[in-house]
Amino acid sequence: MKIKKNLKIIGLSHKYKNGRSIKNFNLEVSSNEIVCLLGPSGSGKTTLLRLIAGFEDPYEGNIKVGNHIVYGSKYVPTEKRSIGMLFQDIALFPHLSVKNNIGFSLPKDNNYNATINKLLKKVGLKDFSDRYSSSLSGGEQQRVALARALANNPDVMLLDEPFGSLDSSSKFDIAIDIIQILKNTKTPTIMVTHDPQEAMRLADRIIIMLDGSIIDEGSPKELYFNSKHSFSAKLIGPTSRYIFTSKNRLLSTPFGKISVTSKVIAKYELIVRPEAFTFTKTSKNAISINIINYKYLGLLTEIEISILKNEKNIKILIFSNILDKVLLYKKLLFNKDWAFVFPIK
Amino acid sequence: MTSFIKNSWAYFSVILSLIVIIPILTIFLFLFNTGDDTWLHLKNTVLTTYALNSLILLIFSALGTLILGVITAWLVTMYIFPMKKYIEWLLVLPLAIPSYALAYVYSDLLSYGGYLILIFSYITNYEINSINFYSIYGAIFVFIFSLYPYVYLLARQAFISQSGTYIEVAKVSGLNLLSIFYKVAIPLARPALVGGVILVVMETLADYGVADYLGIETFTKGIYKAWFNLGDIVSAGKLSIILLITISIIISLEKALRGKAEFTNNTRSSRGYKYFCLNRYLGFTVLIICSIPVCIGFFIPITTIIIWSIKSINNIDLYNFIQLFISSFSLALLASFICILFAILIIYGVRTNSKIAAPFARIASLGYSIPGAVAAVAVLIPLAWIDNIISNLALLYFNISIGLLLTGSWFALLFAYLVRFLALSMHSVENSFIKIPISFDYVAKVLGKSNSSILTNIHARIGLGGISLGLLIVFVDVLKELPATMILRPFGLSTLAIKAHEFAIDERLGDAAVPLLAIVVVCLLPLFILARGIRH
Repeated sequence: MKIKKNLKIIGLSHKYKNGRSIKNFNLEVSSNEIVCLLGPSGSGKTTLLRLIAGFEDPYEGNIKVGNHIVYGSKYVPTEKRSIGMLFQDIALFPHLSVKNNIGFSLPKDNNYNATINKLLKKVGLKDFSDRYSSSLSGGEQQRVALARALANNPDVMLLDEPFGSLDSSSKFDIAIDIIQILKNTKTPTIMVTHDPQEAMRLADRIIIMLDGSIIDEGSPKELYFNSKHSFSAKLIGPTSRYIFTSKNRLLSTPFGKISVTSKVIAKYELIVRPEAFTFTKTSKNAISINIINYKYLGLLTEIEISILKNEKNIKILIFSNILDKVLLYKKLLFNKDWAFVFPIK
Repeated sequence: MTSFIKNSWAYFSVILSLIVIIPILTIFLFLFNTGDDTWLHLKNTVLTTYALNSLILLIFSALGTLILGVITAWLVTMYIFPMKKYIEWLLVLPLAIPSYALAYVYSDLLSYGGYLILIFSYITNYEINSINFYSIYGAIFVFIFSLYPYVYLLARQAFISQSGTYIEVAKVSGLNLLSIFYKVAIPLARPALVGGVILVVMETLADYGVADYLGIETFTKGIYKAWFNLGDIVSAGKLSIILLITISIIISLEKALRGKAEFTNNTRSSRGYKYFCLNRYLGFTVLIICSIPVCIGFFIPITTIIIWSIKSINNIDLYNFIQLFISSFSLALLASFICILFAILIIYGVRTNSKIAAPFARIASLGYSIPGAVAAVAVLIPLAWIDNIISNLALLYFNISIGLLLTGSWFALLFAYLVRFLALSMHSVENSFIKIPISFDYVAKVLGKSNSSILTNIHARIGLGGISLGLLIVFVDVLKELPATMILRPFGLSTLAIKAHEFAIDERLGDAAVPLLAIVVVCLLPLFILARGIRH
């Protein structure tokens, strides 16, 4: 039977003694897919990887790697789960050369050297075979670790913040290379990160976790355009945030009226992306503003403005390329499509 | 079942820990034994003397080593003075000389016609015949100068790792260096200092050789006498339990006094203290202060032992000496290998599942606080029980009398060494394994390696340095060990330490010198490794 490279998690639950837990977690990762688990510390991302790897055991649920159930009706120990894993601290064995690190799990048969050379070539380190980890840069070490993880042709690859220890200047080049190698080998991959930028750049699908549950998921574009949770909207891209109380299914905001679905009077969180604010000189829908202060942040600028008399000042994020004109003409156009409303529970 | 398979190494570690824990626990059975006439006699006659002498030794040795160890550590950490880089590691060398050897040397040097007496009379023009070293003061002197390196090493390490920021804060607060020493450096180093003093206390309470040679009645000597002279295991056990409880109280008391105070470096700066350069006069004063313990604790005794050895070289029975050498070495080698094997397996088991294995490993590592004599009694009890069962079964089923198989054999002696010294090897192994990131284990696991393969291919290889050091430390301690070996040795077996002690008791110090020298030379080996670490 041809081995299908994929991962399926059904109804997985786990509880730590300190109260943190993963609740009824479901996930399917297909071959050639890079799934990124994104969330704050303590949201259960790394725990999930440890459950898949078998370092921890859930109290209920099923895990299927490739064609085999590894937890549930059957129990397969870590060493037999056909899993590859990359760690933040890279963990190359210091007493072994690059070649022996990569060949750590390989049988020393006639193919041993050929397999290692093939893997070295794949990760772009052809001439590094006899070197030791201490003489390699962080990026080179992570490539060796990848070659070592790929040596057994794993059915699923787990990446536990593998680029966290690399310096920011070369981080994304190395990360994109590694992800490309994984795509070429058609290995389903789950990557844990708390860096939204990393997730947006590398993942096919992002899963946002909070308190052990999935609160949102989708492709990077879907999440940016259509977040289902205020936390994921704020996490996935820059936003300005305001709180308003509804009245007659409407929120009266300084930028105009925004409708809500419920007729119950309640507090709502208004999340606005910088794309919502554009410059206009002529439009009749333009909002006249008084600029109190502004702070240049590079791509974006935070402006403190007042719109109506006797109203409190508010801060908005706009793209810096319209800053000069906004300062000059003191007019802005507000696009409601880039504003998301979430009830506050 | 999955949990059992997954945690099989942790359970194995628990079993190994229990092998060491059970004898220690059996001593507690004596708490419930009322004892016979011998115990009542001991209780009414010598128990107070044992307690008083042990207490005096303990208090003054602790105080003396604390003062000497802390002052020398502070001086070498804070000041630059002539020959500092040599003094720094020379201060450790007294550890190479067993305490009992120091007792033999100074009792001779301070006796009538002894070199020190002659030199003193010559220099001061004041005539004295001798100084009575066979007293509790002599023992205190011996313990202070042979054991202060424990405090020195830990205090020095603590001072070095204290952040320079603390000194800067204290200085801007208006404190001078002396005030900084006792208001900042000493309180911050408290756990290390207490750790050093506790080691001294344990060594003092565990001593047999010094007390026996100088004629001081202490608990350890009492245990030996109760078993050997009176043949009373109950009294030996009861004395052992008193000693154990005393040690437990000391350790708990310190923990209670420490309360919730924290002593970790909570500054972000990793800068250490800045050295102070001393002028010539002060520099030489510090050099002299630091040289005194080195001379008293190492150079004078080693020179004396070498002179004795040269003088008695013609009296050596080479065949006997080689036999002694072989038996001591093989015993020490076997014991160190057994201890390190147990330590590796226990510590690795803890690593695989600390929740299951760690509590047992912690109890097993308490063995080092148990004096050799107590360890011997602890091992005797379960082994005698097993021996009796085997003997009865052999008589019942085969009608043969096989006597005592285990007690009085190498097995019993090695078992006692395991109980006593396992903690030392566990400490070395743990220190080296702790530096191996847990992700190494995870990587190897996801790459399909079993626990035994991970242990042999990763931990044993990366941790080889720590494992070797653990081997060496136990080897040296077994070589010096006296009370457990004297109580449990098989008939006809002698060691370098026992022979030296027997010669010394017979006032044949010259004959004692060669075995002593052999012990000191071997003991210097790990100290040179330690010294190399200090220099770097």
